[in-house]
Parts: sequence; C-alpha cells; structure tokens
Amino acid sequence: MKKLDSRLHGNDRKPLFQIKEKLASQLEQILNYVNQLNELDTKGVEPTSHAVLTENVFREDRLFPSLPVEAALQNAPQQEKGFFKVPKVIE
Amino acid sequence: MATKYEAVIGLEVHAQMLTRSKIFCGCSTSFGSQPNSQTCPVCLGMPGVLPVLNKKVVEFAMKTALATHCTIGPLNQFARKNYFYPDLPKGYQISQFELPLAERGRIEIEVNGEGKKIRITRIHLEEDAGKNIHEGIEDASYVDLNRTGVPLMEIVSEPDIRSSEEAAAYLKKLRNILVYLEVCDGNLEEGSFRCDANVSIRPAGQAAFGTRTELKNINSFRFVQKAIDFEIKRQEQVLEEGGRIIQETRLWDTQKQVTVPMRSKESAHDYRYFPEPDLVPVKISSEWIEEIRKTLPELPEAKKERFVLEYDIPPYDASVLTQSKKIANFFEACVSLYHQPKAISNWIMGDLLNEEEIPLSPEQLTGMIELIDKGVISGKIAKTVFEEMLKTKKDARAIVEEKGLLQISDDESILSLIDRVMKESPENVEQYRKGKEKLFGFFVGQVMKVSGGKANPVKLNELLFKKLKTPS
Repeated sequence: MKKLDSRLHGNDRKPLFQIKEKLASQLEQILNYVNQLNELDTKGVEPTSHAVLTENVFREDRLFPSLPVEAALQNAPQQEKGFFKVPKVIE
Repeated sequence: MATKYEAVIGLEVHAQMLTRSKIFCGCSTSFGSQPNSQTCPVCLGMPGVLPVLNKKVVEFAMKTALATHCTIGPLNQFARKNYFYPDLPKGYQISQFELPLAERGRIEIEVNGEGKKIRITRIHLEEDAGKNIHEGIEDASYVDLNRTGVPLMEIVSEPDIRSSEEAAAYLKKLRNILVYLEVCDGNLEEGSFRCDANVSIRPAGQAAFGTRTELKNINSFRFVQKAIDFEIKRQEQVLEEGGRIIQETRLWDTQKQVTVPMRSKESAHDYRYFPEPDLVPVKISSEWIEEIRKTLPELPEAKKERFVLEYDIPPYDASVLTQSKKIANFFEACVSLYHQPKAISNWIMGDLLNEEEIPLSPEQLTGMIELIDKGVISGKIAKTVFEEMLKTKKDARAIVEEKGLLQISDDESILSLIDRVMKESPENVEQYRKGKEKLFGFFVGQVMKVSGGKANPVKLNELLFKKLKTPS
C-alpha cells in the first residue's frame, strides 16, 4: 500500500483518500460482477481449457534444422564453453 | 528384529521414446551431440512460440498402452507442471495431469517360478527437461538444453510390488515390452529408461501403508535392487529404534551404496497444474486404437508360447530366449537354417546371453552344430571351435580344417590310441579284467586326453569295451 500511496501522489493532484475511495468502489463493482457467475448452474458443463474448439493438431515426426549454438546462447546473460551458465543450483 | 515388516513398492518409469524429432518441435532427439546444438525457439521457451504435438509420440504411447492392457483415454489433455529450475527454460514442463493417455493396465511378472500381476496406474506423455552439469565448475552450473523437449512416457505402477526382486522383474519385463515395440531403446545408462521407486514398509498383516520415500537416480537393474534393499533395511532400522519415516526424496549414491536425502527444498513442490492453453486436446477414436492395435508386433509372452509349440523346446528355454528380441530373432534365424532347435537353444543360452552384441552369425553357429551332429567334431572340440569363431570370425569348418580338429572316427586310429593307454597302465587293465568295471571311465578319459579331445566318443566306447574284454 505504501508503494501505491507514493505512486498515486506522483501523478495525481487529488487528495489521496478520494482516489482510494474511488478505487475501492470500482473494485467492489468488479468483484460483484464476477460473483454473479456463481449464480450459474455449471453442473454437467465441461471446464473450458481452450477458447478455440479445435482438436488433434499434429506434426509428423520430421527433423527441422535447429538453431546454431551461438544463436541459441545469444540471449543468455552468461555462457561458457557452449553452455548456458547459471548460478550453482546444488551445493 | 522384533516385528516382521513387509515392503510396499511402486515404480515410476520414464521412458524416452524413439522418435527422430522432439515432442513439440523438429529438433533432433539424438544423444551425445554438441551441447545446445539441438534447440530451437520452441524448446528454448522463447516468448510467442507454439508447440505442436508429434503424432508418433501419441502412437508410440498408444502401442505401449495396448501392450500393457491399459484403457486409452478418449480425451487427452496436456497440462503445465510449474517449477523453477535452470534445466526448464519455460518455467514449466508440459505434461499430462487429469486426462492422461491411458490408465489401468497390468504387467505379469514371474519371481522364483511364481506369477504375479503388477497393476499399472497410468501412462502419460511429457517433455524431458535439459541437463544441468555441476561437476568441476566453480560457483556455477552449466545447462545443456539438447534434451529439453525429448518425448517421454511416464509409466506409473500401483504399489503392488513387495520385494526388490519383484521390482527388478517388473522393470525388466516393462523394458522388454518397450524394446519389442520399438518405442524405446531401453538404455538405462544413457538415461532413456529411468526409474524412480516409492518405497514404504509396514508391519506384516497391516493393511494401511507406511510413510513412503521416493528413490531417484537409479540407473541399472542391479542398483534398483540394491537401492530398494538398502532403503527397506534403513526404514526397518528407523522404526525399530522408535523413529518415524519422513516422506522425502532420496538419492541412490552409487559410490557409497547408500540412499541419501535430497534437500527438502528440492522435493517439496506445489506444481500448480493447469491445462496447457497452447496445445489443443487430443481425441483418440476407437478406430484409431484399432489401427494401432494392428501394428503391434508379437510380444514376449506370445513369442514364448509360440516357441514352445513351434520348436518343441522347454518353456524355460522359450522364456529365456524371448527375454531379448535380439536373441529371439537370432534363435529363429538359426532354426530356419538348421532345424535343431534344442541344440541351438543350448548354445545360445550357454554362451551368448550375456553378450551386448551377438558376436557371430546364425550361419556360423548352425554350421558348427551341423559339424557336431555329423560327427565331424566332438562336442568337446566344439567348445574350442566356438571360442575360435568368436575370435577369428571364421566359419567352423575353416577352423576345424586349419587347426586339425577333425574328430578321429576311424577304427584303426582309435585302436592305436587305446593300445597306447593300455600299455601305459597295465595294472588298471588287470584290475578291470578282474571285475573293477568302474575303471572303464578312466580309460575313456585317458584315450580322450591323448587324442586331444578328438576321439569319437561313441566309437571309442565301443572299441574300448571290446578291447578290454579280449585278453591279449
């Protein structure tokens, strides 16, 4: 909240309590809106895991050229001897 | 020890599938390449890329499911298993959770002549992670992402296993099935067939399970047995001393031959599984299942039964010969060249089972057995010829001719050998003639010896008998 306080001070001239009140009521509206969903009877409705109704999208087992090692390592903050170098992960 | 305990073991096997390309991209799956040379934006986990499922991965897992009597799920879904580790560039592993490829199967094993069914809980698909290297690096770890995205099948058993012997039998059987199906090379050392074991103990007769530990890092059948045996003993000791088993992951230390706890930080996970939005569901129709069923090869069990019926060999021989597809094929190739199944089986079981690669051709082995059957060489000499074949890669006949190993079958030569031996031990001849017939074996042995093992045993017996019975 402290962080939020200082940020709100930064670019808004309105008194802080007014902004907080406004946000609180907006948040409440959002939560109420979402809560309406609980009124729906979803028994027998499959959980939706995808927005598009496609299925069985496959590729054949064929090789496609991989990236050169240099390109694969290009974004790594640290690299050494062709490996990604990371902080030691075991003692 | 006061209380008698029973072990309860469940096994999780990760089998790397023998596809050419990875599960969600076209990078190669081959082992031992230059580090980070088999990666692309998909398996590196770059933003904005989309995985696409390799169809062969589904088909390989379906084959495995059918061969282990599982029910294949009509609807498959992938899930994200979230955890943070440098070998996992995306921060999650694509796996299956609620809707796995297959469930409820079984594998039949045999231990000490007794059959037992081990139930399979589920088979699911997932991608492998990369490889971290820690040894010999100061204050850092190296990461090689070639293995990231290599397709794996996780095969989980029910806790039906009661001893380390059963565990080893289950693993060998499962590995054999995968190799027969040509979906996995079954190489434990290279990590293409990996095993974790969940082990707990309970007082004999108690129905409830004890607290289990998970053993990781076991990369040979021998170690599986040793690690499980060690862990059972360790748990017994803890309980006997009034202690409690802590649920934890333990590693098998090959050098020290003990299991040691992994740091709890690494084993306590909340994976926050959720459906993978980047991959669409896979529907498997019964038509597709039947299509795959038609491609199933003859499996070890069926092959064993056929060997008994078709080649009239004992069930024991058939089960040993079918434990490896390579050996089974070699046996059949030999039998088709020379129809002496039992003799061929004896030679294979006696001298070829432990070989990584069969070191001779079916033609060589049957050529040699034919020489024995025709009386050209004796069974004893055959051993020498066999060794020589392995060394020189030459045919049996060539070796026999070169080394002068032909069996001595003509009466005259055998008689002269008999004469020699009889002259050398006149006392024994006398004793024999006085009724000490047991000495017959002594004479056979001596003549064989002076003949260099080459005397035809049937001829020798016949002539020796006559000779000893006729007073000179």
